[in-house]
Amino acid sequence: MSAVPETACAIAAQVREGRLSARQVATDTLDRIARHDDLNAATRLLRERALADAARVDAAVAAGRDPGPLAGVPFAVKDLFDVAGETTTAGARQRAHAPAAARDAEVVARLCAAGAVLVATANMDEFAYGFSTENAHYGTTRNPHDPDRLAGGSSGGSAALVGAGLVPLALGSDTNGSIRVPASLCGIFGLRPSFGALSVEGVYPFVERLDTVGCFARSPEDMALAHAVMLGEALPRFEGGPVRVAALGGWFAGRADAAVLAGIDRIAAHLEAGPPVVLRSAAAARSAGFLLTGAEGGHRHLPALRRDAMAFDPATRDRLIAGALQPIAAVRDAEAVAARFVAEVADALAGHDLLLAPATPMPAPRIDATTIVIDGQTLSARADLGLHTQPLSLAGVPILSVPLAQAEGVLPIGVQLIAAPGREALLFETAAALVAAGLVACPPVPRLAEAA
Amino acid sequence: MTQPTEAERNAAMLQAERLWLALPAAALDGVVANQQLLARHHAVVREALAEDAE
Repeated sequence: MSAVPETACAIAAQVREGRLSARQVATDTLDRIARHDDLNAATRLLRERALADAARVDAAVAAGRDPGPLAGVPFAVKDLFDVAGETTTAGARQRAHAPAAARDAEVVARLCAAGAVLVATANMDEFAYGFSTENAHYGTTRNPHDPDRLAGGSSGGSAALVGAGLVPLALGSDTNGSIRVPASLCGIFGLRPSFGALSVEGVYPFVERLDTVGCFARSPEDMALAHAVMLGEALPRFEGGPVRVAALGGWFAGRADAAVLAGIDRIAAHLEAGPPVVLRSAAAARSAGFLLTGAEGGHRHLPALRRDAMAFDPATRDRLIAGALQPIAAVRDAEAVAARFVAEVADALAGHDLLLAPATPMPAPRIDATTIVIDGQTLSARADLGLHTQPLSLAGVPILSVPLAQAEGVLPIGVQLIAAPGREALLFETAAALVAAGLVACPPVPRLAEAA
Repeated sequence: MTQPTEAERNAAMLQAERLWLALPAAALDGVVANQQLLARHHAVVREALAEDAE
């Protein structure tokens, strides 16, 4: 059992007060990640850098200087964030020998300037194209709550590290659900921020019209703190009177495990929600997201596919090529549907402060399962993990996946809290209230087998 | 997943050639399967637009 507290706020408080050394936290964290290598969540331990950064934090505390609000908090980043002196692989073997990054990605630099200590890079689907973190080059990341199951993706390594309690914070990217899906399956909080709110400078791109970066955490308070640091400003408090809430019906209510729908009902009742809202174009928007992602992703990687298609993960390669081969009419039609759906979401958020939807249709599928039957319908245990996240990505709104409180031993699953652009603070405040009400909670840190 | 036909495989290779991309044999069936998936998604999108136009 580690002596390091579970949350970023608790670690920072103890380090700032001089009751815990950042070096001790970093050493303990690095050792624990190394011992739990069987999750295949971390791709590199950054021991030298972490110990040097921790020493700077401890020196600041000893000298009476402000070490920053995240003093000594260890964190990991999906391996598509630039880390100075390291190669950004984006999960691709063909990038293993690319030149090292000259500097940290902007959001990484901001976290470190606030005293956080980067300890590891984390596994992902190749080029972030997937919902499972199954990588032909770097292996499959396993779910910390059941290693025979998927962690979700594409930011699965980051989510598994937080879900396992090995780091309190980790960064991921979310294009179609790559933060919200693994957050749901690993039982933690995961934020897709408002589109454009956080800098993507130094982040390997996938689909620029949809790419966002955000973090995973074990509490809404940690999430709010890290988000404010990355934003570079204090979060405005929500001061709008009673919060008007509705669950999303239609597409979002018909293809989901009964447990997550029941959880949404409990949250809706607690928040005194009005009648469900149906977004008419949701199904088509999900398909539009699929088409636009394939087209932009495919064209981004076309030069590399021409040079050496066999260097890609076969699953990624086949998706990218098919995406690039799409007729232009498919892209134009998808853009028309996307525009219509964005207007529908804006209308819904004009009349409501908060919308609710499942984060995934199911808890973590077994790694050997290709399909899952939900409500009499056979769903893909990979692509359909993003059924409920993918359409909402088009709208550019902030979405927080929160873990439903469950009985011990039940696999985690998450709910999306959706607000208008710029209203992340409302999401954090609501999540904190739901934790206080016992409706939302991270499952206890699992007792992990230690690697030999 | 339906087994790709020779016509689908040939069409994929031709489309790829137009993008100056030589489709590796190992990728052919996977690419066609993904094209079929994308075609189903395009049908959903077209149907939604057609409903609006009515």
